[in-house]
Amino acid sequence: MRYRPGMIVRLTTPVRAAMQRCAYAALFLAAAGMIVIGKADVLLAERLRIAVADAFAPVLDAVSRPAATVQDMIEDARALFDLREENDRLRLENERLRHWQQAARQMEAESRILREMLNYLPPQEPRVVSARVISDSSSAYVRSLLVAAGEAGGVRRGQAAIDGAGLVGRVTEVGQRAARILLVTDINSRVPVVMEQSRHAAILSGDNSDRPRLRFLPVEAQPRLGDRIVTSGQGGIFPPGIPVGVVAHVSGGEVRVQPLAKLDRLEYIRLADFGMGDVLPPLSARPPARP
Amino acid sequence: MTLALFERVDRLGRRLAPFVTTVLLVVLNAIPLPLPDYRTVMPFLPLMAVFYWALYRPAFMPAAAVFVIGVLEDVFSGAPLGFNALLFLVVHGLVRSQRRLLAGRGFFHVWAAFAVVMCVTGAVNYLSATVVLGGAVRPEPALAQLLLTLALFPCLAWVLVRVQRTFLARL
Repeated sequence: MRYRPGMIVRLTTPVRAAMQRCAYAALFLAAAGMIVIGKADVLLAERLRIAVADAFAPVLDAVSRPAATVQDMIEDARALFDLREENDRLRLENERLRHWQQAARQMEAESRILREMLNYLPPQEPRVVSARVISDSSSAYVRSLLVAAGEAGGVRRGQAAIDGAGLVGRVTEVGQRAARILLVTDINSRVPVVMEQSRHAAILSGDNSDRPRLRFLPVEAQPRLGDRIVTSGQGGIFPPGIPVGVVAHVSGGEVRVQPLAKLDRLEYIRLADFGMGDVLPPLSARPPARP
Repeated sequence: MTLALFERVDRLGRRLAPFVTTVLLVVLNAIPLPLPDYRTVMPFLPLMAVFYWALYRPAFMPAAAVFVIGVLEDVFSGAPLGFNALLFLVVHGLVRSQRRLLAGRGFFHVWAAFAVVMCVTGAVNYLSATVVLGGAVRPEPALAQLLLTLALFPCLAWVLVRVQRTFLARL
């Protein structure tokens, strides 16, 4: 048989195609296997996930900085436009706040005296870590963030995440340099809360919308728009008294809460360790991860 | 000798362009942007790139690369590990098998094909979310995401065409 140059190509092409198909099948199986293993061994999947996030943390950190700068510039420009209005508003607010300050001072003094009389032990001040938000992996199905602080910075699972105004969520995964925060709006988030004035307890339950629902509120509680909601400290994950939100929608049995924290424009958040991480159930007892 | 080495490095770098651009889009998808409500309707950028490269330069976007990109997207998006990897592999396989049908057609055909792919993946995404989360998922954000992704496809395709012309024209 005479050698023809095209022969090798003709012979190898089907082999190549077969190999390619094999590679496809293998990768399909690997991906499917990953999903199954991820469901079966939540701990392993979580470790792998946070390891990759850890490795990418510096990249995300670097890339998210320009985005933050642009955001600042836009806000600056906007602020410049309504400077006068803002000033008037602030002057009024300042006056109102001064009254509040007076009231607060009086109450502080009063409560100090009462405490001394009762021999009350004040709760420990929390240890706080501030961290930059480097990735917003929220989608229609998940509401969570990555922050650029991890185990090395003292972040632990179960810590409360707060911004200047109120509760943001809690730490669910921790790596060396990065940690994932589950927001209060996530469908898997449940926060035991009370109404600040009436002290009626309820569960703030996220459903991936911007306003989580207030559930299991007793019938006699009559929430009104603007009522403040704070954590109750039940269940032991969050300490009592962290401001969470205000009632923003009441219709029929449905009460929705507008979170005080600006969840859609978080740049820095504080992770507070109230020494309550130990009461969180082990990872494997938690519901499986979501798509 | 040195020239040959340089050329090889250069060629390798160019061959990596599709993979690198797609990884960049995964990262870009994960960055917090200051737009209100953007996060819930974020366009599915990595899928566009996987689709594009599978269609126009499948040699530089092998299945293994698609797998890695999918896993990366899983990590950043909080989806179960392997979910997007599987999704991207299916899209990749689908596009490669239908390449003959699409190659050489006008952009509108390609856009329509992408719309079909995006609708299917969007439906898979939504259905699996409802199954896992127990039927409480609102459809509006998913729909908005679908439309935004479709609307942005020509823009991204334009960018990717530039990338392809710059890095892959001589390969």
